[in-house]
Amino acid sequence: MSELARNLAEGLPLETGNASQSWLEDLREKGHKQFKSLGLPGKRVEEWKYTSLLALERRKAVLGTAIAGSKATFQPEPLADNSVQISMLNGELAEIVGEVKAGVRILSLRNAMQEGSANVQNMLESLEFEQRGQGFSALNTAALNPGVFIYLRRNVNAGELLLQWNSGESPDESLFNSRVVIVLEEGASLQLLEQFENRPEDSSILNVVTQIELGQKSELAHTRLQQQSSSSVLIIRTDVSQASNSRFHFTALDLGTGLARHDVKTDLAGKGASCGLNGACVGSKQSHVDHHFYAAHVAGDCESSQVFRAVAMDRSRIVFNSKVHVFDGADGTEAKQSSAGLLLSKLAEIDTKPELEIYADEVIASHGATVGQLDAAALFYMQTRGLSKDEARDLLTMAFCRSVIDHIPSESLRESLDERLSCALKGGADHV
Amino acid sequence: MLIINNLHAEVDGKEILRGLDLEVAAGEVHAIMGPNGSGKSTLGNVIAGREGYEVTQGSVSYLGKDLLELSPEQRACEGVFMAFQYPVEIPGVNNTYFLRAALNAQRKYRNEEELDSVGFLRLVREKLEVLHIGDELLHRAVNEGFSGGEKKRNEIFQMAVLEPKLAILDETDSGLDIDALKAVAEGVNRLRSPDRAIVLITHYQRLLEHVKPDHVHVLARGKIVADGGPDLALKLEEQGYNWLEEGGIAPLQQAGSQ
Repeated sequence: MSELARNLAEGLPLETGNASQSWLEDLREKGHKQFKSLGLPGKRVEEWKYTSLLALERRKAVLGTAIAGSKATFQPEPLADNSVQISMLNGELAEIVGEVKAGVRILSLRNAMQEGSANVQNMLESLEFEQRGQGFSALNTAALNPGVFIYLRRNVNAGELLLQWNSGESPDESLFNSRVVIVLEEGASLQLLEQFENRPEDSSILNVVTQIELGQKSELAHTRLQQQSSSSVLIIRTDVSQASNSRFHFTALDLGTGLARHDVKTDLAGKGASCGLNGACVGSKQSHVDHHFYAAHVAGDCESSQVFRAVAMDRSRIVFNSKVHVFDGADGTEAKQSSAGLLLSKLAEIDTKPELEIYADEVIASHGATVGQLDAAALFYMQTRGLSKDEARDLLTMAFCRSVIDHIPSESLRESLDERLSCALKGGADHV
Repeated sequence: MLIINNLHAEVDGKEILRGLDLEVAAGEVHAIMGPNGSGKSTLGNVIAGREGYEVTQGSVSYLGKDLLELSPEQRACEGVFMAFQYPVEIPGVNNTYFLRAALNAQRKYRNEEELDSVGFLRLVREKLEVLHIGDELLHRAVNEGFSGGEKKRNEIFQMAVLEPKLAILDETDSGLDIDALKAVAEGVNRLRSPDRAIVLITHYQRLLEHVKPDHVHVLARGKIVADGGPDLALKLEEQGYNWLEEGGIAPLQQAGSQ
């Protein structure tokens, strides 16, 4: 076990300060044990081969507990104006601003667990964290308490919810855990935006696990923006379970200069479900972004599409691992994977790996992965029309990333992400 | 406007242009004809400033400036336009957006006010109408999925919007059906003006049936080997380029002067 993992384990069991149910104590205990056995993932674990935690290890962070009444060190401009804003502070639900629609419940995970809301206990207990490489999830479970629960009743359209993740003051360098549980009943729909953004001088270490249950014919458009400082670390796992004819549309836009690791897995468990797992990443300075996407075709007649675009500048490193698993009997599956990378610096690196495991017979599957440089012919063509090489390069890289943003259903969100993207490509990721 | 003197240029260490001389004045339309491999496209690329085309000798003067000292975008901003033989597809970049960015880059260079989207759209509609181009091309990505004819029309459309002083059309007529050819020709004719020069690089004579050049030049083995009026193009069409192999420059020159 590394020194950091030991440091973190020392904070366990976490003082929660409230009497809690025995199932929860058992679950935390299980997480604690598992974390002690797994520790933090090292590079020998295949899933973490390209992502080193060495820089994080050196920082000797301790397990953080949110301090009541602490203030956010920085509150970014909300990504969307008209949405209900849910502010998270060091992983705890801090504030809800705006009018929550009827049929929608947003409460702290703590309260949800206490009142035994919907399916919370089952969902929390169902998270797997026994595998090598799942140390962060074990730790998250050991520290289970902070977080938020979002519930949509049948056929409710919740509109746009913005989940803003902010850091508060804390005396030591701390790693904060948080758990997000989202349940959409049959026919419900939601546009969820997540904003992880801070200033260059800020620092944040967050370990988030999100569990999402999508009922029949429900629809979730989930967009995540990560634009954090070089000393920020985000480890975020998203597990989705999809009932028949549900739709999950996920887009991640990573523009930050720190370390971000996304694990997004969706179980297409009911017939006719579909998902789009998309990501665009602009790596600059020494940023490190690692995406692991996984579409599990459990039921037949489901569609999945994974599109990823990476632009690596400076000394950045971008990892993209996309996986499709078609289970025995999942006939009528349609699975697409496309990943493309642009290497704009000799010191940058892109590692891309599509994986395809098929155990059913009637399957349409396609995948493509390319890494290259900007098209010299296109650059010259644009120059002959009067654009400078830099302008031409910006236009081309924007266009390259836009194929991911274009999938986002909301036009206003597309525009605001477009602007940030363009700014990041011009080296403005740090809001200079 | 354009004075090319003893131009030698290499591609990958191979000499393609071997002492080319050409003078083009404002208001004139010149046709440069020649067989495959004679250096026609190399000439276009050298003037536009493509990388990999190395000038080893000679000079190119444009409006009194040393053109070879300018970057491709500076040349464009100074008013040089090249219509590509193979226009490049740029997926994801909207045609209208691209053209506006290009026009504004040029206007900025010339210290003119940049056009906002309303002003630009007005200009675009004007040009489209004149060129009989549907506006569906505007909403698509630059040349992406365009047919051969659409790509060439798009080049002419760009030229109409950018209003260059010197336009070089590199085999814009190749691969076009007769309707597209007429449309391209009309686009070129509309741009003819006393302060603009047009150079048509072409293999065939058929574009010249629709755009009447003031001067015709024959390019062979990297040099201009014959000059003349429109009749020279007709003679070439009749006799082909075989006579060049036979060293028969003299009769051609005669034909040109008739």
